[in-house]
Amino acid sequence: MAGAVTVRMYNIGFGDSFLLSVPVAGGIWRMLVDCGVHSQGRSEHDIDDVVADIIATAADPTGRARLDVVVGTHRHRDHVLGFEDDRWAEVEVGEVWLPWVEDPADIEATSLREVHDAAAFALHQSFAAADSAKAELALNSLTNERAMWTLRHGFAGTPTRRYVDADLELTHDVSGLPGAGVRFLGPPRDEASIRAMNPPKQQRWFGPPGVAVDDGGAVFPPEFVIDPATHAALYPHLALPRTLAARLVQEEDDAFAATTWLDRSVNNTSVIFLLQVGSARLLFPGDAQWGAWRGLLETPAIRALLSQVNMYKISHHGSHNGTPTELAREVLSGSVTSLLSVRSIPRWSEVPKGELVDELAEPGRLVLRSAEQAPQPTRRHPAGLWVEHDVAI
Amino acid sequence: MGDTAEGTAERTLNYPEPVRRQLQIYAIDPMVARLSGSETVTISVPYEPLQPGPAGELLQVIDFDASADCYYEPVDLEDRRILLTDGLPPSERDPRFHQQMVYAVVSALLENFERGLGRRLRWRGDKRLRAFPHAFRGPNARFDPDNDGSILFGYFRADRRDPGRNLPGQNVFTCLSHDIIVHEATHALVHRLRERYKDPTNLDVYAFHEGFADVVALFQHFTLPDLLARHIQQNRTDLTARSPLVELAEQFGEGSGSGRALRSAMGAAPDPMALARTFEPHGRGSIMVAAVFDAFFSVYQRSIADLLRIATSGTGVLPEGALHPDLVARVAAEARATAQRMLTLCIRSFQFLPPVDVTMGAFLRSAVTADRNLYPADESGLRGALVEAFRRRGIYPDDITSLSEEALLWPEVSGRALPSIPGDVVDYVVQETAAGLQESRGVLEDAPGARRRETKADLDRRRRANAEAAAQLSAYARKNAGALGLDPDLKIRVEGFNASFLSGSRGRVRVEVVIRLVQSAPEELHEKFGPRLGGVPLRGGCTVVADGTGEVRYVVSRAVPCAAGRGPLAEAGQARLAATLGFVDAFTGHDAFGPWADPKERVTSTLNFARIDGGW
Repeated sequence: MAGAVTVRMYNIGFGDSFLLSVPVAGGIWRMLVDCGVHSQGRSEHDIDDVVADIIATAADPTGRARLDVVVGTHRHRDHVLGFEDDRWAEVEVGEVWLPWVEDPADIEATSLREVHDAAAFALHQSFAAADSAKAELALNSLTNERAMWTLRHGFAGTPTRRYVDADLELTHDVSGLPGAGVRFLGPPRDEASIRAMNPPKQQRWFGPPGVAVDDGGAVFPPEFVIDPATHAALYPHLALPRTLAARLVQEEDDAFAATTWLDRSVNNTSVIFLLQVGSARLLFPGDAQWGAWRGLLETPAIRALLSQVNMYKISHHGSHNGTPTELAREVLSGSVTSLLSVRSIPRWSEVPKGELVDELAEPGRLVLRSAEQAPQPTRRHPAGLWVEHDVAI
Repeated sequence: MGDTAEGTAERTLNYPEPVRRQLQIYAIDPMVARLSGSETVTISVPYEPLQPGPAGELLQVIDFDASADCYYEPVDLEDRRILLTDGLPPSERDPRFHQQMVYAVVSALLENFERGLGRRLRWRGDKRLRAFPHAFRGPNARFDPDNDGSILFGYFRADRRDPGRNLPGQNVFTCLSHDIIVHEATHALVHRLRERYKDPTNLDVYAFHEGFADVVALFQHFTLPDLLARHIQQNRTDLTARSPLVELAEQFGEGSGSGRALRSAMGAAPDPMALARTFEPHGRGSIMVAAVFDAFFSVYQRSIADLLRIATSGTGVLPEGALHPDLVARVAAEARATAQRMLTLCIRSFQFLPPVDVTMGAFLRSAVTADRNLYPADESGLRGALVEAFRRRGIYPDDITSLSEEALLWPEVSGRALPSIPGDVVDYVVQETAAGLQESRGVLEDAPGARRRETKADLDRRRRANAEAAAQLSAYARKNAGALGLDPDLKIRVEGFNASFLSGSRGRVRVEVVIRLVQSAPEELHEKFGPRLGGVPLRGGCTVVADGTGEVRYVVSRAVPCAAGRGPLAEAGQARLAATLGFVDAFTGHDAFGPWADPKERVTSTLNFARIDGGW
């Protein structure tokens, strides 16, 4: 095989969208990995323009667009928002890959999804008034149902749906790309991993809908209740410092912790796949975080596989637990090229994590950022809508 | 108090002060009490005069409900109508019983700690422990280390779909769970004894806090009357069988929809690799809990083997049917004694634990050293069993050469490497402790034989004497910094000092004087590594243990982290810096909260009492 896999990384903001192209007999094979942006991290390019560019690029001379494979790594808004667009109805798709938790026919998946959705909704409601940034974090986890509908049921050409779970043994064929193979490394579906995706029960934010909602009044009958002023007069020795009284309720903090937990749980439902075309090895881990990586790094055969990767899509926009230090430092090769799709948001100054980017940009390695001019032979869209990088086959 | 009718002449003869106070509580929690058919257990706590609350010398129960912004009527345990009945009878509907139960259980716990530590606990100034039985609505309870330390209990409605053996939607009060009360109060006590253990400087710090609180909560079960005998009868002397004795917070666990007790003394089968894979503090703590209980069970089995042989004509095989009540009583007595010995051993580890950066290995070494000083022979095999149980779970101290007892003991200070602690200070703390052991708590001055109640002037005098002793110890520490493993160029803070009167085998009594010294790494170092540390402070220090004459016997130190330098002290400091940074890096690698948190407190905003798995 000769030629290259061309990876186009869209400058979409705090989000992911990648279009892969491989020349094949009679045309070009194309794969789209995610299309979404976080509400807090839009770039100067509208997501509509990204969708338009993808469709235009995938169109044949008659204007009919076709993608061989579309991957929705996980349901977060910053990965799927673009699929809300009506224009996808006209695009012919061969296969759609989604994580197993999205399978509508899978009972276990459905119940897990319901719990995540209920929690995201409750959290979003609780933050909506108080703090917009936290509300946005919860919003990112909301169902994104319209976009998910497209991925599950939409597109032209009645695509095959493949609900992926990790399979550390087999290499699968890639539809439309003879000689290529794909390894699915995530999301895991063993018992421990599912338990980790399920919320801890004692966290009230994750309670199932059946949990009683309280009115917030006293829990004992009126004869036991004393208002603060009367209490102070009757029992001066029990006087309470005001600072202390204020500390007794810390609901918002609890809810924020729950939100971040939820965020990671959904991230760890990401499809993680390794595409092998000739000698090109491209690793797309979605937003996999620490929990999802652990099993992979503990399996020697998978470690060996990961060490051959020559293009790595940096997980979770470069957060420090998206890419374990061990992966960056010890497993990935000395010549790997990493793609970083993120727009820095001041309040989340740790994303992307500086040390991680430095590690991946060590001499011999290369980090390409969606929003920046990169060295030759990388190509850049005249207005900065995307950058392109070739991985030799 | 003093319910004298008007017009009577002043009394000249008083009644002697009582020594104990009996109070009713739920056995374990309302659910277990209801299911077991014996709702009430009456426990005995040291007597002290009480104000409504109850408010005593060490503990104040304040029933403020922040979710409803109101107070609930406080109980007056001095009211003669309930004095006659050992307090109010158990009731879920009367908040005054809830206050009584919190007071009773915490008081029993305080007594157990005082027994183990060989001294009276005394809070400095007005730092009484505050307990809030209905602090907020929510399935949780937590210890709040700020504002002198408060313990907060929540209440919630049982899960409608999966309430366990509760009524769906019924109110569940965490303050009625014996285990939750003891767990949270133990956090508060550990915090009083080692304030710096709230700083997450390594993976074990919070795991130790959690594990230790569970160990204490479980062993407190064995002090409850009736419960033990009943389960020994029911499970035919097998204490490892699933029973309320070895489960924690059954009502809470079932009520919150998890279908089982929250935690248990019985961990998974021992796996030396599990520790390396467990990062969450409760999970890591449970490995320590399982180890301590493993040791307890094996010593208990050994201690009742002769009883079983006597009862079974030498076969050791119990016949079918109910056990003889005399046998049950004797076996229960053995179980209680072994449990008490083990709990005391765990509590006594605080004589030696370093003031900062605790590890489970340091806990093991401290517990073994403290016990060995009092029971040199280990006749019951308690220490041997403990070391073996820890080994089977991969908990090794990182700085020893073998697992023999000699290697585990903290090394004794050789010869006269350190001068004695100044004599006045030793005299002062020993006398203070001795006096404290004699006096009854908060007893009124008109009681015959009672010591005078402390006045404001007494308090000021003691405060001055304490400050004077601290100043002398500070000078001592500066002069001997090198030998104490401290950096002579950094400020040394005297964090606490006390004497203990400990008794062991064969009438052995030891008087020990313990001093804790703490240092902070220089500001430049904090600035240099600030962003990487995510709020974790860099501190070092040592615990100095001297005998009753002031001669220094042990120095357990953790070097203050530093970046450069030569010599053993600097090397130890560099190792600590590297270890702390390594821990923070590993932690942030798997912390979901991290990316979204304020970088200045990335670690401390996740690893604290309010956050780790929602507190309790």
